[in-house]
Amino acid sequence: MLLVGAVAATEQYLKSLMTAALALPGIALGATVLDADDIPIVYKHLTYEEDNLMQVDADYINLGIPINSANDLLVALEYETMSGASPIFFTPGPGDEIIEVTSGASITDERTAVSFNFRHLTDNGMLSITPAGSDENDYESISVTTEYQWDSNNKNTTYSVGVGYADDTVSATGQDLNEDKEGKSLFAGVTQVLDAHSLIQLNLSLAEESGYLSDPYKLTLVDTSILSDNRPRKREQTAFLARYIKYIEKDASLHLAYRYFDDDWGIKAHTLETTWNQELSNNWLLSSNLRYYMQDKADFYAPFFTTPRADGIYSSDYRLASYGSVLVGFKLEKTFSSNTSLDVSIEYYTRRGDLKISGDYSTDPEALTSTMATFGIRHTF
Amino acid sequence: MNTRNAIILATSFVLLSSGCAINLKPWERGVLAKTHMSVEPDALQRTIREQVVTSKESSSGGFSVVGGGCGCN
Repeated sequence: MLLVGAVAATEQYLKSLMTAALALPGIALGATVLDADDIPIVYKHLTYEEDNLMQVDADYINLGIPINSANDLLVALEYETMSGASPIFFTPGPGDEIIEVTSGASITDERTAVSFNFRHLTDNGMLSITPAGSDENDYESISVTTEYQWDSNNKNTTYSVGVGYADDTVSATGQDLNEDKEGKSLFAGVTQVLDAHSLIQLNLSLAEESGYLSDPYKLTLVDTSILSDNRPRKREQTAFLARYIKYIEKDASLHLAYRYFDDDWGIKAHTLETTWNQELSNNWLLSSNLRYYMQDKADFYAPFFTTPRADGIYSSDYRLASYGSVLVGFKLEKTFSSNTSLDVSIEYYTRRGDLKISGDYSTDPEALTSTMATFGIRHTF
Repeated sequence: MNTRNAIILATSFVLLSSGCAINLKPWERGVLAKTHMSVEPDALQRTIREQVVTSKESSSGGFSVVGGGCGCN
């Protein structure tokens, strides 16, 4: 087997790291900081398991620290371990069959991440600045985001603008690789109360990544040669998100979200998400979740190439293919008092070519299915 | 972003900031104050979800998730 053990979890986490580092804080209606006598702490544990591939265990701690009536600090810590196997490339099999070559099952990695969100109240808004960093065996990230949000119209409208910058370093276990990757992002959003029972939010984010954007653990078959994954050194992305939240009698709420995404690699994606939150007796809350996703492939994706491309740009990373996915999830939360609650959740995810409901889809030898379970506790001291 | 997206977006923003000049009084906001009526009732859960799906898919952004996340309030 090729590269046995070398496909570290970067394969899986490279992009999420970048995304997390660049993402910006959200908009809440009416800017506030923590009261001086409130110190909230949230802990969650995640167990994530793919059928036959990766397994991830992660711990998250979020801590709120009041400073004074105009300032506070939110600290987020994360530690995760990953192990398992990962796809490397595809090769043609008998007939139309496509065979997936995966790494051996000896991949391991760990990741540590921290962020400090300093928030400062202004006359009618809030300014926040968030330095963050993360480290794993083959990936490092340092980032900073700044956001300003302000209320108008008696706090019935909240605007937000933000900017983010990330400086990442990519290496690879078992390879002599040390490459830079840079990310810049802009964010703008507005949240509007529609009436006493509903609100809407519109967000736009623009991101530009540059530098080494390939996956060092992926290969591609071009005619009879096996080449490295080689993507463009620049990527511009646009995401537009609309969310609608409505209260439903009695004691329930419906959350709808739609996101349109496109980038200059040819990927266009649609995400539709719906959540139903139902209050039950004795302070229980049940949330049910359904998410549908589909995307068009990148211009330079193919499971394998029979002829070389003039620009030498290739990727057979299935994440750049055309496919759809479905996620179904449930979360149960019990509030014990005004300052303590517990929650558990489970989510099932399936990604498959023929789940794409419009346009062409890419052949995938095997659907990806995974299960994600979380346990959480929240307490305010 | 292409021109069509820009126009849709600009129109939406203008509609929201002018057409919907609703003005709820604080005492009319009881329902909106419920935790599950907030835009992101459990921000840390959102962070985890986005981490999982963006490691399997090729799009991201738009959702208001902090780097590292915080559901502290």
